[in-house]
Amino acid sequence: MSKNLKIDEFEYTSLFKCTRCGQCTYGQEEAEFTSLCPVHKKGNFFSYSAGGMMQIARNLYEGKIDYSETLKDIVYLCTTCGVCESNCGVIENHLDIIGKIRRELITLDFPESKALAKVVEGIEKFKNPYGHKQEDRTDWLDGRKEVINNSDASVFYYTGCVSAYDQKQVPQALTRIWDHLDIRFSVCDAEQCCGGPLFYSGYEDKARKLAQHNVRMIEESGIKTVVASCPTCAMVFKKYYPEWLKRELPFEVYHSTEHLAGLVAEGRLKPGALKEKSKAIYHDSCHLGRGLGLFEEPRDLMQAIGGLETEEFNLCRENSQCCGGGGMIPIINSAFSFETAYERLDQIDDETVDTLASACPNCRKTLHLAARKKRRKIRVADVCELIADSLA
Amino acid sequence: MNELKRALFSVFPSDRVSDDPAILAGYSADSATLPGSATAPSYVVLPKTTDEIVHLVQIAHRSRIPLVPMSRGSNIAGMSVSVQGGIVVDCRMMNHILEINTESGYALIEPGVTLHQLSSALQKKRFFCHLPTATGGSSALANYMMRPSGNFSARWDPDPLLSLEVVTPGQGVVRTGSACFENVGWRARYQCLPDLTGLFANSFGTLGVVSKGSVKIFDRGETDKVLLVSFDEFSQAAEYMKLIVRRQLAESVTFWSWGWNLFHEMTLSKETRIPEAMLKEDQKSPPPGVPFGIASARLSGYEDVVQVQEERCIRIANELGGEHLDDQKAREIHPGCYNYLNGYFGKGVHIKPGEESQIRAGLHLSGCLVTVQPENVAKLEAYMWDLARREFEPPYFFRALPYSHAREFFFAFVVYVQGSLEERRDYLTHIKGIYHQLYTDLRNKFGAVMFRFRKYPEFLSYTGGYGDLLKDIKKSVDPHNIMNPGMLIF
Repeated sequence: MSKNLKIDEFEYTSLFKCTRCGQCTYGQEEAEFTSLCPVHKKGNFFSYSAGGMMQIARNLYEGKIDYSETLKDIVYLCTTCGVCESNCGVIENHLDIIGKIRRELITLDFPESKALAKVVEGIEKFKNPYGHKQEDRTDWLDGRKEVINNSDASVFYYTGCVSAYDQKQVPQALTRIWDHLDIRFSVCDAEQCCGGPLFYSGYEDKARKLAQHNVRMIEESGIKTVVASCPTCAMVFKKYYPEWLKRELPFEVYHSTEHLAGLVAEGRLKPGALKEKSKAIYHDSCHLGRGLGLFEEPRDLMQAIGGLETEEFNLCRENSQCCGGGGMIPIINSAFSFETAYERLDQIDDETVDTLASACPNCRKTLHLAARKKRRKIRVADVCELIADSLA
Repeated sequence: MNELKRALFSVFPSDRVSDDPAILAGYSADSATLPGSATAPSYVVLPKTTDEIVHLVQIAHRSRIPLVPMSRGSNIAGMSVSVQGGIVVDCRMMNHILEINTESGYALIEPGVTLHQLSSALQKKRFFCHLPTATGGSSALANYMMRPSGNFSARWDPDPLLSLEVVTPGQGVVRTGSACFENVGWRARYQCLPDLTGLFANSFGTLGVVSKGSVKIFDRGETDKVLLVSFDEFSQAAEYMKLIVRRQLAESVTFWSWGWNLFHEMTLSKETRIPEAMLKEDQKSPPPGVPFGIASARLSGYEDVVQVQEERCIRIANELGGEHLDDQKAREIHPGCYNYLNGYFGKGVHIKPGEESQIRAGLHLSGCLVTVQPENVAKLEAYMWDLARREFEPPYFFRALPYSHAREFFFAFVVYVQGSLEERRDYLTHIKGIYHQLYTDLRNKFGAVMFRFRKYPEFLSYTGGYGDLLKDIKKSVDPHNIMNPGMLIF
């Protein structure tokens, strides 16, 4: 066996546990059997689900099927939203296995494979998925050179690729809050991609190298508190780095909302009031919510902001629906990414809500682009931006 | 394009029929399929209406190609895997609750309706349905068609089925129960003619494709209560269960041995490792502080009546050596188990991720399931412990519940197999071999009968004229033996 898929025996055994119950596609009781899995929305057959992909993996491993257009179509729909892993009762490593199928697909002659291969290549060469220069990584600081490799800092800020190169408003807002509180932070110009995109493409070995670099870099700074704005980065650090590196991390990692909520609890951070009253709806990022279990922290922060009324999606918390921004889908299947984002936006009434808040730069980017494309007037903002606004 | 393909594509739009290997792979195996044994069908179709099923059955009958019906939810026994190729009829899109008739006490549902979907809809009307221990994502109708064991097995007959609509190769659309008469409706299992609903129950798709059915629903009453009693011996628990059911004190009761209760803990915690205590050599004796087993009973009705029922149950339990576990004590001993039992028996919902989550920690739950008369159930339990000590590795455990006013007991003994498939293949084969012989031994020793058909082709030959009659019916209903032939009933 092992003809068409490289997985180990542990992973092969896990494929046998799938009972085809379909729970991988829908959420908890409150979701009332709404299909949450983006893959499942695109096809009626069982193969369009994480469970179906486990059966596909089993058949690939046993050499009973080969890679095909349909197989590629299914696997390249996965946004790594994690509905499967959080709802399946029997398997917990769907995303690892899907990543390994992707790794095989990447070598084949599909347009999506080429796009993904370019991302992988870009990360290997430039240490970020966009192919941007390393020296531009700290551009978002607008010349504040004193915080780069700052030996006097108590917080190490792991900016992450999306924030550093694209969604610069997010790190700028977070550092405005720190400045307001006189919290000294350090940003490292040698920071590299966390490795998440490589891992989700089946390249755990390549991701491990990035992990080694990032951990060494932080370790050398001597700082024990690491904060990341990106839930994927925070999740990869917390969940995968110890596993990949086979050791506990010598520092604590926090997502920005987790860190700021801690400051509020200590009484150090006291969000003020917005200049103009606003009503916001909070979108749970998949990797922040289902991935890290951080549901209350962003909500608590928003509650603390004066003049900000909040609303919930019907599908929220564990049952939150993906924005379409994960799994490199915006790069390899941009139409599907937009389709998924539109579906999320359609759950918002622009007449009653003026702000769509998230705590993930990738969700912010995806939903912002989709909102503009649909000419929706809603503002998309990170929770940090709302707090920073309240302090202004 | 061959004739069969052309015919199928003329009935189903392209998003509901496929012969693509990547799509078919999803239907090639379930958790009972051994390594290297995945077998994909030639086609899969997703019908939405009875008419589509009628066309499909005609095409398959004409082409003499196997049809394997599949509904929705857990597949743990290979019943919907098309080991002989053919067409899988995946009914997941027939997922509508067509009617909830609280006046007549039934729900008319399609095969894709899940237990969770049905119980949630009924909850809003303060009604309740039979809940087997299958996951909430399982098809209610398919599960009821397989003689479920669950929360309404005790006071009422365990069979929740009333009328069915089945498409057979020989007769086309057949309606059973009261629905066989036009304009009479779906309210009843029996009318003035022989019962045909029972013919299709336990037939596992070998006689036709079920397209809808009515099932019993029950008023929740003013209040409901889950009563937990621990016992040190199963014989005491069996007597307790029989008495509280016969005396109309509880509508259901199940005894779970300590191993099963620890697995309920794992269900809640999403724990992936089997607790050390579960792996002890002496599986009959529980670890310190854990009762040998817990009988969980559901009481419901008027509040004052339930209170009296509870007092009487506790009195009977005490007389037999049982100990009532109040909420606080139950939470202390078994928090996960307490939550599971309350959710399942009390609220009438399956706590996610459900009982199958136990599979996460290992490879397979291999069960021997029988029904047996009350006076033999404790003897059977003793026999199983002795057998397990000789033949099985820890952990293993059992549950038992009275059926049909305690005329008989359902008894499930489960061996939990851990490790990788390659390592455990011989052990799994060993267990399967033991069970095969065991069903014969238990029948001879205790009058116990296999609860659900386990693909033992010789089984029908033990039944004399009953088997001959069934074979004749099969020939009439399915002359070319196209309906799920891999089940090996006929």
